Order: sequence, then C-alpha cells, then structure tokens
Amino acid sequence: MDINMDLDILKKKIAKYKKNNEGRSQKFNKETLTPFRVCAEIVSAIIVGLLIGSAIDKLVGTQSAFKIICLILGCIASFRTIYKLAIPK
Amino acid sequence: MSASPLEQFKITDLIELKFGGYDLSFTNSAFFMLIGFLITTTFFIAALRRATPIPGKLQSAGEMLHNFIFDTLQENTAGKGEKYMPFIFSLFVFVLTLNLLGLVPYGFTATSHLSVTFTLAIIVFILVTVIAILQHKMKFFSFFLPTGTPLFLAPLMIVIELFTYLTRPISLSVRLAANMMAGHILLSVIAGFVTVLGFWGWLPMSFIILFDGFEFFVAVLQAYIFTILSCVYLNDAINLH
Repeated sequence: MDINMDLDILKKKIAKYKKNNEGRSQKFNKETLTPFRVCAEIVSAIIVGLLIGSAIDKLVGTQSAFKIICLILGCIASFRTIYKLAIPK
Repeated sequence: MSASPLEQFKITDLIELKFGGYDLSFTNSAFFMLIGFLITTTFFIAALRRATPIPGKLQSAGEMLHNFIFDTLQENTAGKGEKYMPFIFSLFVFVLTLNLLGLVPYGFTATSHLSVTFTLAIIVFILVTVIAILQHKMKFFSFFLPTGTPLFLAPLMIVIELFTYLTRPISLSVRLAANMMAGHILLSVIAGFVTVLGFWGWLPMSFIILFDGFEFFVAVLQAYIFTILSCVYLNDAINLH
C-alpha cells in the first residue's frame, strides 16, 4: 500500500517536472543554436555557389560567367536559409 | 610548445601504407578516432553488461545519455524517428568523444579536420536523401518548390531551394570543424603569451583555465548541434515539409 502511494507521488512529481520543462529545449535550441547555425549557413551557401559555378564553367568552357551567377544564387540561398531560421513556419 | 598554433592540427603518419597509388597510411587522426571508438564501446559495454532495473552509476550515465538523444530525436521528428536512433546516437557519441579527446593534453582533435566532419556530414546527407526518396518517391521533389510560390518565380525558387539543400553537408561540416579549430588556435596563441610575459604570465594562464571550461562547453554543444541538425534533416525527409 505504502509502495503504491510512493509510486503515485513519484508519478505526480515526474508529470510536474515534465510540465515545467515543456518547451525548454525548443527555447534553448532557438536561443543558443541559431547563432551558430546562421554563421555556418552564410559561408556554406556561398561556397556551394562557387563550387557549382566553377564546375559549370569548366563543363561549358566559359571563363567565369556561371561562377558569378551561382555566387549570386548562393548568396540568395543563404539569405533564404537565414529567413527560414528567423521566421519559422 | 609548438612553434605555430596550427601545428597541433598537423596530420602525421603513424604507420605508412601505400596501396595501388593511394595513401592509406594510419595517421594520428585515425588513431584518435580509433581511441574514441574504443572508449565509447568500452564505456557502453561496461555500463550495460550487468543491466539491472535499479541502475548503478555507470548504467545511469549510459541510460541518461541514451534517453537524452532519444528525446531529442523524437521531439524533432514528431515521434517517427525511433528506427534511426542507433545511427543518430552513434553519431552523437562519436562526435562528442572526438571533440572531448581534443581537450586532453597531447590529444588530437580529429573533428577539427574538414575531411572527417565532411565525411560524417555527407553520410547524413546521403542517408537523409535516400530515406526521403524511398518514403515519398517523386513527391520528394516537391520539397524544392515551397507552397504558394507564384508560377513565374518557380524556376528561380527551385534553383535557390536546390542550393539551400546542397548547402547542408557543407554547413554541417564547416560549423563543427571551424568551431573546434578556432578554440584550439586561440588557446595555443594565448599559451604563447604565458612564457613571453614572464611574471605576468599568470594573467593569460588564468584565462586559459577559464577558456578551457568554455571549450568543454563548446565541445559538447557542437556535438549536440551536429546531432540536432541531423535530426532536423531527418524530420524533413520523414515528414517532408
């Protein structure tokens, strides 16, 4: 009987703890992780743009036309990622 | 003390091995990855060898780590990511161990090398893409066209979304490698001041002690970020939005 009562108290405590901690991890993710993400997203989208542009230039035989186009697209892509991070759906 | 702050990242061959024109040498990076693998495997075997309903300290530590990652995965994949738990958990533990091994004196940070982090990131990227294609077939390609896009903007949006998608492995790997590298370089540069400043060397020395604690936090945080982003990408593949 005593054990059951203790278990009930423990269950209530666990439920209360879970309720108190709800959304905490999401808040932590948003506040702490987003700055780390933004920095890397800016750099990597531009790198991807450069790499794809260089590859197309090499393939087509142009000097740097696609490099410039893809670099601009990479910049737009990085802004779009940051926009998505800032304003989630 | 090393002459250059970058010397700590130098790859050296421990066992030279060349096969068919390829350099397959066993390097210090591979050695520390092997140590990382052995430490984690030994830890979990020791923790779960005699698993009891009321766990001991070691079993508790192992279970807490497992539950933490399990909760993160389930939270980020709307409860549908259970079958990918072994992969995500291994990824987290491996990256965490490699990050922490870099903080041990005379240790080597394997995760400060893009080759290592990019390999891990490309595995995540390919896996996530394969899962998405297998689950959603042709519908997967609707991922590259956000809902509500005007028709005249569709070609441009598809290209931009494709760029954003291809960014994933690079951002994953660059973030981890850059964060691990930056902290270690800073520590090394400040360590140089300790000997140069003579008596006042205690000032940078105390900063190093403080910063070491911060580096520990960064090591854990970066492993967590790598894992949580893998979970986010997995969520995109499973739930497609």
